[in-house]
Order: sequence, then structure tokens, then C-alpha cells
Amino acid sequence: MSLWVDKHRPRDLMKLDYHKDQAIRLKSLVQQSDFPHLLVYGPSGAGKKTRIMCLLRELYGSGAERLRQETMHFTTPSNKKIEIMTVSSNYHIEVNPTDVGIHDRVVIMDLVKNVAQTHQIDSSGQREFKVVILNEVDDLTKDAQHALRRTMEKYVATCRLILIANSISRVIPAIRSRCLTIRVPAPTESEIANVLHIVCKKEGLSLPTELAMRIAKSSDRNLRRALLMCEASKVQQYPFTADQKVPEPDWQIFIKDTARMALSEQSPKKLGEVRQKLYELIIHGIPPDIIFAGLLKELVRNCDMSMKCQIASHAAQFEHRMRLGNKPIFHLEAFVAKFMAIYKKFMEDSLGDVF
Amino acid sequence: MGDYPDPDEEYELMYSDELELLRDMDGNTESNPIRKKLQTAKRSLDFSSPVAKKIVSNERRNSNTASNNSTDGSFSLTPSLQHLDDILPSSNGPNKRTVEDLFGDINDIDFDNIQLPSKKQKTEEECDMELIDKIIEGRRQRQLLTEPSARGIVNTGPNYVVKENLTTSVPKWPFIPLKNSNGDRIYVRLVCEDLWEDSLDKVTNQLSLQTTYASVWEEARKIIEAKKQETESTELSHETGIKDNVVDELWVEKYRPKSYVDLLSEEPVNRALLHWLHLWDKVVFKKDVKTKEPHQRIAFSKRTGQFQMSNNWKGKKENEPELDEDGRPHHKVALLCGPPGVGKTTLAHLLARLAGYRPVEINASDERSTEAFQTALQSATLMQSVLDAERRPNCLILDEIDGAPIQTVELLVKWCTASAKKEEGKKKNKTQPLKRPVIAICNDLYATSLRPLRLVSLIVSVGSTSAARLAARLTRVSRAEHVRVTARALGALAARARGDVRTALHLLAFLKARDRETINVEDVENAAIGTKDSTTSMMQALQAIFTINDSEPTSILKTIQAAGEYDRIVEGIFENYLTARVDSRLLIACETTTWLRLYDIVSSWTQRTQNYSLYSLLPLCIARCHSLLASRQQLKVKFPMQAQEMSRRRAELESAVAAVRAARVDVSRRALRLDLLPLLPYVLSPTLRSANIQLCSETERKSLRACAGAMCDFGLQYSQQRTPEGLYAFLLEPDVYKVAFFGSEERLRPPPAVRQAIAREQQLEIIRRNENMMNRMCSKNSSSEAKQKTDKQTITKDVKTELPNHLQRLQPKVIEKPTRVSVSFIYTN
Amino acid sequence: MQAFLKTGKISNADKPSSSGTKVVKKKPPAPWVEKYRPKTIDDIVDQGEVVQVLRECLAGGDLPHLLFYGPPGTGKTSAILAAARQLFGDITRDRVLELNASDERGIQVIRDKVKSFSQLTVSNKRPDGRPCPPYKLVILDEADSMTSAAQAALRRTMERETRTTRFCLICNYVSRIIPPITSRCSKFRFKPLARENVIKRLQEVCEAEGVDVGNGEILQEAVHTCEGDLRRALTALQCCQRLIGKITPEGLIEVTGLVPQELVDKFLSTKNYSELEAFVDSFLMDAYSASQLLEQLSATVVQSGHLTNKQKCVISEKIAVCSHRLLDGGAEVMQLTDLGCTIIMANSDP
Repeated sequence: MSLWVDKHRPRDLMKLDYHKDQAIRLKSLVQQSDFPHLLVYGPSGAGKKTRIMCLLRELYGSGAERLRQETMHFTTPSNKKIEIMTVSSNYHIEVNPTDVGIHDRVVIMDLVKNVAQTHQIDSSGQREFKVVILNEVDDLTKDAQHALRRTMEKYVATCRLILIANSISRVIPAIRSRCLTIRVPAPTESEIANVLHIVCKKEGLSLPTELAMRIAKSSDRNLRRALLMCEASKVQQYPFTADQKVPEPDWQIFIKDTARMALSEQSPKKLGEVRQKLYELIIHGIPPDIIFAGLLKELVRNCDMSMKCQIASHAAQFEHRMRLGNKPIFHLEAFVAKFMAIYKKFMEDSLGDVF
Repeated sequence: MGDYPDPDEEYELMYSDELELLRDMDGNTESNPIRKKLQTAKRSLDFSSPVAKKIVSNERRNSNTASNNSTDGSFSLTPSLQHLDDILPSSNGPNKRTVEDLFGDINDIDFDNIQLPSKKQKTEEECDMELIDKIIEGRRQRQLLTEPSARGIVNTGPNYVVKENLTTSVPKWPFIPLKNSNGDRIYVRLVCEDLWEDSLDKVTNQLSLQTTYASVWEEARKIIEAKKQETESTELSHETGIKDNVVDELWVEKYRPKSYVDLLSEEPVNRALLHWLHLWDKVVFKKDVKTKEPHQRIAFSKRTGQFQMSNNWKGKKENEPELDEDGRPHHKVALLCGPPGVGKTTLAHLLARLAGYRPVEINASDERSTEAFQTALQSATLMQSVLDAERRPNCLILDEIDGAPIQTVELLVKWCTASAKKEEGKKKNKTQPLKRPVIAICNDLYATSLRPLRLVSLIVSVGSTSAARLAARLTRVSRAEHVRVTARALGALAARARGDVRTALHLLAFLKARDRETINVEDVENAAIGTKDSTTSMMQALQAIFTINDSEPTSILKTIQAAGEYDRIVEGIFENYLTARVDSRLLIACETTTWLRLYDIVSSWTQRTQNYSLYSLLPLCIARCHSLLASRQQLKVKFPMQAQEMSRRRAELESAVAAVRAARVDVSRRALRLDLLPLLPYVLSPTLRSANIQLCSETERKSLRACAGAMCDFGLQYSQQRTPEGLYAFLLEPDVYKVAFFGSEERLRPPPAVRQAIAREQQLEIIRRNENMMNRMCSKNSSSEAKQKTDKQTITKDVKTELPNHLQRLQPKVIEKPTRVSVSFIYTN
Repeated sequence: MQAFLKTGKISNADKPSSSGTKVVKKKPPAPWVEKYRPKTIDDIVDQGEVVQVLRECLAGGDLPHLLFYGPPGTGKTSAILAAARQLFGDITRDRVLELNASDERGIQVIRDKVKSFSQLTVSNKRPDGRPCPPYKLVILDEADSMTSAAQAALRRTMERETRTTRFCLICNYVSRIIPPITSRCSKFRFKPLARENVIKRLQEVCEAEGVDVGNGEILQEAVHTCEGDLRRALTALQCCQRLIGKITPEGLIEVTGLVPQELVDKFLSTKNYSELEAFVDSFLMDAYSASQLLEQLSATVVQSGHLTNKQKCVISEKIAVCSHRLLDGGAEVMQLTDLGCTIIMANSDP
């Protein structure tokens, strides 16, 4: 693994760079006789997966790091063949059930059943259970989540589930109450800067503190992004200078541009141009809720409080509606149109006051 | 074909039939209202139109009996031909047939008599009358045929004319194939006008030495006039009587065109289909058609300039061979398409009959599973009716084919196309290829199920009848039915029917049934029925949404419902609404998007829950958009493309992401999209001072190596591809630059030399990794992993043999496996 | 995966005996909730009325159809399970059908499983000759999550099989049960448990588990965080014990996923937009749950002393709207921002 993100990933619970007391707790959890189902949640790039891999290593030793990548096949009740990529070791299997969309329920039921019905190797025999790691549990359909809770109870003797979610809000309470929930907060900016320093030291590079802070700031407390940005800026320019340009994901810049466009002029013509940009974002697979959040953040900058309030409430409302609909572009454009109308009215009113 | 009479026999039969036909024409008066109108249209075509001179009309009305056999002066024939008509019955001299022949002929007539009523479903009285008429006609004909045989010897001229101009076998002179009322085939000679003039002069001179051409003409005129008056008077007398006559036959059936000239469809359309049917003659009737074609055409084009226009479709076709090597037409199937009610089915039936076939119809009411369809196909095209005395070959008409399942259509296509080859191999075999014309009829030419058929078939699109033409026809019908309708009302009726003859006739019948004195415009407009539903196209609806409709402000909802395809309409609105009206404060935009959003939510909900209780709200959302967006100025509505384009491009990028993800399953899709891929290209674009690795500094080499490693990790590679300019370029596959950047990706792409260096380095990296793995394997050498090890060894070997070969195109296979293997050590190195 | 499964299978084939014994040997320790579930109805905390009814029917009276409702963790399931155990003793397995939300409970199951079960006739004697009630018991836990179609299918069965079967429906919200069913049942409301009783029970459990909880303060805290829900409190204590090894107030908050009260207060006292933006960002980055925040916020707002009624109205309404949107899958950041804006406006306009 050559990217810094992969290369310098901690592999031992005790070597984690932050949330150290949590690591100690996890270690003690492993040493207890029983191991509960886990629900690990935290924002993207906070280190959930890293912690889980460390935990697996703690449970099974280095054998858990011998990973294979395979494709599994399932058949839905409607006889549709679906396949899903899995990563597995002798002790665990990891899948991303959301990859198969609405058929996630089938995958969960079959997979857990498969795993649970086979027993663990006795000779290596530390644990009598295998682990199934499910990613993005919060994006599972409700159906699948309900299936999950039955499965969790049924196969508790031979398999444990580790569920990974970005936010716990969308996980049904029944699952939450059956798991030991582990919150992984995103690292703070100073923690990120610290990690960057450590990594650069390992790479034999010298990283100016200001640059580290700047990277940490623009990474949105996402360690993965921060490390990538750091490596990218190293490729762009080395030796580092404190004020060098830090590459940012292009979509962030693009959202900012889009917002700026809407601010510059409020007219149907401009709205048409904004639409093209929104299309572009959707084409590039940027989730619409992120576009919404990004737009909101940028658009409200020059507004007074009551306007901010109005816009935020519209954004919340439109975003919610978008979830219920199928065509995100309608809702995004509707939001921009609404913003333009409000903004224009405000500008005209304030100009009217002047004259 | 063996069942068919040999040409000589046929000739005899045909000949008598022809005579009968001509007499039939005499018998026809203009009481059939349709004829009068059409004649004007036909006249310009002259007799070059293959059918204009041959009117097969079985229609006989009780108002005019067989006794009324004076020539119909207003007939759609050139004067010269009329003369011929006049002459033929009176100078039956040339007929040399025996009585036995004639008996057969009469039998034929009787057959017709039995058949006709069932076809036309007339009232009983009408049937009876018709039967009587027929019999009288038959008798008279026999008389005529036997009687003049004595004196016929005198007139050798007409004999020559008739015999040489009409034949049942394929003649050597220019001709046009025709069909008489029995559907038998005759060939009529084509000669240039002067020749005709000459011969006709000769005939008239010979016929009546005292009377000149002009006087005969004059006489004919008189007779016509007298007849006209007569019919008018009978019409009037009928007016009172007929009113209480309950008509239990649908007008649509009653006034279904019975002859070519009755057809309402456009002339070129009719001809295209007829021509195609004649192309089958070679296979079906074993007659050569092709060779004579050019003469025929030249003769035509000489005559009138007008004709050339309608001949266009033929001219276009000249480029491609009209017949394939089997002598079958190039297109095995004719696909008739057009909106409902314009007479496609009628056209197909009539022309098939006209061309000498027995139409066999399979429509939606018949079973259309593949098996049932196959049997139907085979029985219809390979077999021949035994019961039917006419013993005509079948012509298969597949009505409403757009509703047939796609497998059925595919079967048809396969059968049409594959049979050609089959024939070559096993000609003696019983499995016969398609040897009969197949006419398919559909409403929607672009139905997905028809896609395969479209490619192999001759597409004849029947346009909707123009309102004026329809109105004229309606006038005739109303006169025949003795309904007083004002001209305006008919116009309105025709306009309302929008080219659908069926609807118009129904509405007319409905209005008549109300028993009013006259029908006027208000009646038509107030009638609840008769507005034609469906078949508003999506674009029409879209156009309607953006324009204010003053005459019918409430019609928009109907238009939308008629168009269906709400999703596309909404997309259309979305793409056009910004330019629809002046909207500087964006209030209209806000309001419109509100409704569009509502639409989206409702339709998604409907789809998700499969609960259609709210489905009827969708057109309301669109109608609301209309009230917001409609304006008087003409807006050029653009066809909605963006959404499709978007999903296409999105799928493109999606596949790139999926390809990367196949190499790195452990990264969630979201993280890949938002964090990894947008920043990865920076790592993949090391800045090197020179492409030569030996000259690179240590740090440069390091970053190159990191880059190669990252490419291995993510399953990326540079592949050498030939550009259109003929140069070789290293292209990244999958192209993460495109995913990461919004248009500015080219800025960051490494120059070609660097790309090559990276590609080289990546190969080295793969080898390094494999060696690494080998070493580890050897050191561990655990029995459980023995199998894995051998796997990896083979992979390594593969790579090594591959190594000296620097052709990058061979790489994909090699790289895929190593990257997968490397994944298995994500956390170990 | 293949190898993963294979290795497992091989070992299974190799050592069938050991794996067979292992299943018996290694049963995961029961959660405290199950372990300390009341064994008899007399152990039920509070709920005097219900206990009295059940006691009477234990003494030989007839049992009506029951509908238990009330907030979670007040002992509804425990009560009926304890009663069933006392009624049927060791034949409980044959006489009781318990279905909860994690079982399939569509209309098909009601038609097949429940109906066929309820049609069986039973004697008033146990196999060993002792007397027992001549009916069976169907317990439908979490009945409010049944579809109304399934509930409708139930009503006829309930009526027809009264002779041999008693139904006990348990739900949180009685309004979610269709009226025909409620009218067939005697309804019992389970009150939220009195705090001291909960603490007493928790203390008993902790003593039995040998967990040091110091004086009552931590337990007070636990009860507070769990809002009188005994089950949740027990679960939280167990998780906390497992994860941290001892029970601390912070640990309790951590395992229950609660939002610390300081954050709730901070959110409620937001002054301007930039502050709000920063708060929302850090709140979500720390992986707290927005819906949890709304829940706690609602309680805080209602009890808050410094807000006027008007402010409370405005904020509570927005909380309701935002909760709904969150349930539908709305993005947390948007909803929190929206709610925050409302709070700011409300704060500036008392």
C-alpha cells in the first residue's frame, strides 16, 4: 500500500493516535468473556474502520489481516441474481450491503446465515464466533434494518456483527439497543495536525506547522482527506512552504463557484447556468445532500439574520422533500430559485430604502 | 402454385371476368357518393394510375338496378377509355368462348352473390335486392356473351384491342397488372397516348360508321344528365321513406371503401403498398414483374409532370434492388403505421384483394403467443384455402402488431430474414420460406417491440386524412344517409375528428340518431363524444403547455392526459420554463419549481408504494405549470434532453468509480467519491524534470514510485491507445481525472513522457510486489496456504514472461490479478 | 468468502463432537434485562392495579383479553411473562405463543400461525395431573407495529376462540391499535415507574452482579438519563460495565448515546448564525445524534424556566417538524441549522 492513508494506518489498538482511552476500553472489551454486537458510528474519516481492524487483530491475531477480495452471489426472492464484493479473512467478512440497493435485505440475511452456520476453526480457537462487518448501516432500507435485528438475535451464538454508520440517527432504535454503541468523534484539528506531523516524520519529510494546521482546517476534520491533501501537496511541491497551495477536492470548489454564481446575479438566465453546474455536480456523483449543505453554507454568507433564517428553513424543507422524490435536480434548482427570489427582493427593498 | 389454372385457362376466365367487371362499372351510378369526390383527384393522374381505370365496385344500391346500365359519364376515366367501355359490351363479338366456359363464369358470379352479404353485413332487404340484382346481372351477361358471338366476327379491330391489351399471362408489351372484382389478375397494355388516340379512333370508326366520336360523346352526356336527374329525384323520394328505416349497420362498415378510388388515404401511400404487393408477383404468381418496370415508368413520366411527384417513392427505390435473389421483394414485410381510424386496415385488405390475394387477418383478438403465432403464420402463408373456390394465395395481415409481445415480432423477423438462406440449401425440402406478402399494421411505429421489424420492413406511413378531404367524404355519407348537415358543421366535425374517419362517422351517426332536422355546428361542438383521445405527442403537449389557448382554456388537462408520458413532459417543462416568461423577480420560477417538486414527490411515492391513488394528481401539477407559464408569444420548445444526457454521463463516471471500487472494496463508496478520488490525481501527477528515470533525483524517483504504487492499489493503469491522429497515447483506465475534476482535469494530467515513465514504473512495482509476496510465502510456508501460494507463483510467472513485452495493450489481464492479490495484504506491509 | 466458509466446514467435519459440545457449553451470557426479569408478578415494580388483576386470575379467576400500554420499560412484557409462568408452570412452552416485532407478523402469520394455535383445545389438567387454566395465551408484543390489516385479521380470531385462547397485546401507543381490538380487551395503562423504585431495583441488580456503584448518585444519574425506563437503565448499566469496567455518569451518557446536557443548553442559547454554524459542525463531527438532541431539547424547552410560552411554542413546533424530516431521512446538518435559526429568532424575540 503506497498511499500514506493506507501505509501509515495504525494496526494496533494501542498505537492509535487519538481517542486513546476509548482504545483502552476496546481492548478491555476484547479481553472479557463475551463480546457484544458493536455499532460503531462517527463521521467519515474519523477512523472507524481503522479501529475495527485493530479490534479484529486484537481478537484473532494477525490472521485477521490476511484479506481476500471476493464476489459473492445471491438470489433474491424474485429470482434476480445479485452479486456483491466482499473482503474477508478466515475470521471475518466485510460487505457493503448498500451496494445492492434495495436488495440489501437478502444480502444481510443470507450472508449472516452463511457465516453463522459455519463454525470457527477450533485449533486456532481463540473465539467461537466469526465477525460480520456491515458498512453504511444507516443507509440500509428499513426492511433490511428490521431483518438485521432478527438476525442478530438468532445467530448470536456463532457470529457477531460490527455495524458501521456515519450517523446513528437513521439506525432504528431496536438495533441500537441490541448493540454496544461506540461513538468515534472526528479528530480535532490539532489532532489531525499531530497525525500529519507523525506521518511526515515517518516519510522523512519536514512539515511546517502552519501548513499542517491549514491542511487540518481545510480537511473538515476528516483525517483521510487531510492525509491525502498532505500527500498531494507534497507531490505538487516539496520542500513544503508554509503558504503553499493545498489541493482541495474539486467538487468543494465547484460548489462554492456555483453559490457565487447565484449570488452574483439573480435572473432566470443565471438560474439556467446554475442548473448546468448542478447537473455537473450530480453527474460526478456528489450526493445531493452534500450539495445542499455546501450551497447553504455559501449562500447565507452575506445575508442578514432574518434572511439567513428564511433560507435555512427553505433549505431544510427542500432537502427533506428531495429525499422523498426521485429528481434531486428539481429540488436543488428550486432552492436556488427560492434563494434568488428572496435575495433579489431583499436587494431591491434595501435599494428602495436608500432612494 | 400447381393448383392454379395454367395461363391459358386463366386467360379465358379472366377475360370473361373483365367483361363482367366492365359491365359492373356501367351498373354503378353515382349513388355511391364517394365516387364523385374522388374522380377529381384521379383525373389528373390519368389512366396511368394503375387502378384508375379499373374500378372494382361490388357496391350496388337498390336505387339503381341493373337496368340502369348507361355509361356513367362522370366516371374517373379518360374519355377514350370510356369509349372503350362503351364499346366493349356492345361489341362482344370478339368473344370466342364456348358456353361451358361461360357457365363457369356464371358460377363465379353466384359465388360472389353468396359471399357479398356476409362481408358487407347489409340489411336483409338490401341483401335480397342485391341477390336479385346479381342474378339479373348474371343472366344479362350470359345473354350478352352468347348473343354477340355471332356478329363479333365483323369487328376485328376491337378484338385486336381487347385481346392484345388485356391478358392474364405476363405480356411482352408494357403493361400494368390489375385485379378484377374476383381478384383475378389481368394485365393491361400500356401504350402512349397517340397510339391510343389512333386505335380508339379506329375503334369508333369501325363501330359506328355514321356516328362520329363527337356525337357518341354527346349522346353519352345526355344519358348521364338524365341519369343524374333520375337519381336526384329518387334521392328526394327516398328522403321521406328512409328516415324511419332503422340502420343496424355501423356506418363505418357501410361506407368502408370498397374500391381503390374510395380510399381516403393519400395516393402515394396507396401506391407504395400496391407496388410492393406487386413485387411479390414473381414469387406468388410466377410472373416477371421487374423487367418491365422501367418502360412503364418512362411512359408515365412522359405524360404528366404531376405524376413524377407521386412517383418519388419509386424513384428513390431504384437505387436498391427491389427484388432479392429469390425474386422476393427486398422488404419482406410492409409495415403500415399511422394514427387510429385513418383506414390502415381497410387499405391493407383492399389492396391485398386488389392484388389478387386472399387477406388473412391476425389481430389483437387472436392469440399472439409465439406458438400460436407461428402456427398462424405457417398456415396463412404456406397453405392455401381449399374451400374458397377462388383459390387465391393468402396475404397475411397482422393488425395491431405493436401490441404483440416482442418475442412474436422477433419470430416474424427471424422468419422473414432467415428463410432466404434456407431456400438455397434445401429447396426440395418442405420447409418453405416466406412466399406470401405480410402486411403488418401498427399505430406506434416506434414501439420498442417493433424495433427489429422496422429494420427489415417497408415502412408505409399512413397520414391522417386532411380535414377537407374528410369533410368531403362526410358530405357524401350524409347525403347518402339523407342527413341534412350544414357545411360548417361537417367542417367542424372533420376538424374535431382530427383525421380519424371512424370517429367522424360515429359522431355523424350519433347526431343523426337524435332525429333532428338538420345538424349544425353547435350540435357538433356540444356533442360530448367524438373528441379524439390519445395520440397527442409529448412535444405537442409541451407546446400546448407553453401557449395560451384562448379558444379552449380548459383543454390543457385533456391534452396532458392524452399525451401521457408525464415524466417526459415534466422534464420538458423543467428545461423550458426559465425562458417561457419574463420573470425578473423569479417568482414564477419559484412557483413552478414548487409544482415540479410536488410532482416529483407524488410520482416517487406512487412508484415506491405502487399505490396509484394519487396518480391522477400528476396531470394537475402539470396543468398548474401551464397556468403559470403559458404566454402568447410563440416559444420554441426544446426537446428535453438534459436529463437523459445527465444520466448517460453519470453512468459513464459511475462505471469508472465502480472499476476503482472493484480494486478497493474496503473503502466505502462515499469516501471514495468525496475524499479519495478527488485527491488521488494529485498523487498520480508527479512533477518530473525529465522523463528519463536515470536522470531523476531521488525524491522524484520516490514520488514516481509512490504514484505507481497508488495506481496498483486502485487498479488503475495507463494503456496505450491509438488516437485518431494516428499517434499512440497513454490513457488512464479507468479515468479518475474525469471523476475528480469538473472540466479542469486536463490541467493536471501528466505529460505523455511522464505517463510512459509511470507506466514503466508500475510494471516494475508489480514485479516487486509479487517478489515480496513470494518471499513471505516461502518464509511462512504454512500448509493451509499452500494453495494460495501456488496461485501467486503462477501469477508471478505470468508477469515475468510478460515483462520484456512493452506493449501496454497486453497489460490489463496481467495487472488485474496482481492488484487483487495486493489487496490481500492491505494491512500487512 | 469461499475459503472462509470452507475452513469452517472442514473444522466442523473434523471435530463434530467438540463443536457439538461447544454449542451447549458456550452460551452467551444473558443480558441483565433477561437475567433479572421479574419471576413472579409480585416482583413487578409499581403497577398495583394490573398486578391485582393478574393475582386474582392466578387465584383461579378467569383472564380477560388484555391490552397493556404505557411507556417503554415499565414492565408490561415482564408482567405478562411472569403471569404466564405462574399460570402454566412448566407447560408454558406449549400454552404460550409470544410474537414480538422481530418476528414476522404480517397478515399471513396472523392467519396461519396465530389462528391455528388458538384453535387448539387444551385441557384444564397438566400432564402431571395438577390443575391449570383451560386456555392458552397469545402474547403480541409491540403490537403497535403490526399493520392495521394484520390487526383486523386478528379481531375475528380473538372473538371466536375466546373459549380456548386469551390474547395479550402489548404496545406503547394505544392509539395505534384499531378500536375493534381495544374494545375487546381490558386495557391497562402502565405508569412510568417511580424513581425510588427504579433505583431500588437497579441497586439490587448491581449487588447481584457484584458491581460497585458507590452511593446512589450514579444510579440517580442513570435513572435520569434513561427517563424512568428500567430496561434502558439496566442495559445502559450493563454496557457501561462492559465497556469501561465500572459505572460512571460519563460512561452512562456515552453508552446510551445521549447528548451531554451542556450541548443541549448551548444549542438552546445560540445567539447568532456563525455560532450556530460552528456548533452544528462540531456537534455532528463529534458524532452525536441529531434526533437524540431534538428529543432532549424538547424536554429541556418544555421545562425551561427562562423561555416565554410563545418561545416555547415556536421552538417546539419546529422541533416537531424537524424530527419528522429527520425520520424521513433528511440531512442532519440542514435540520439542525433550520431549528437553530428558529431558536435564534425566538431568542431575539421573547
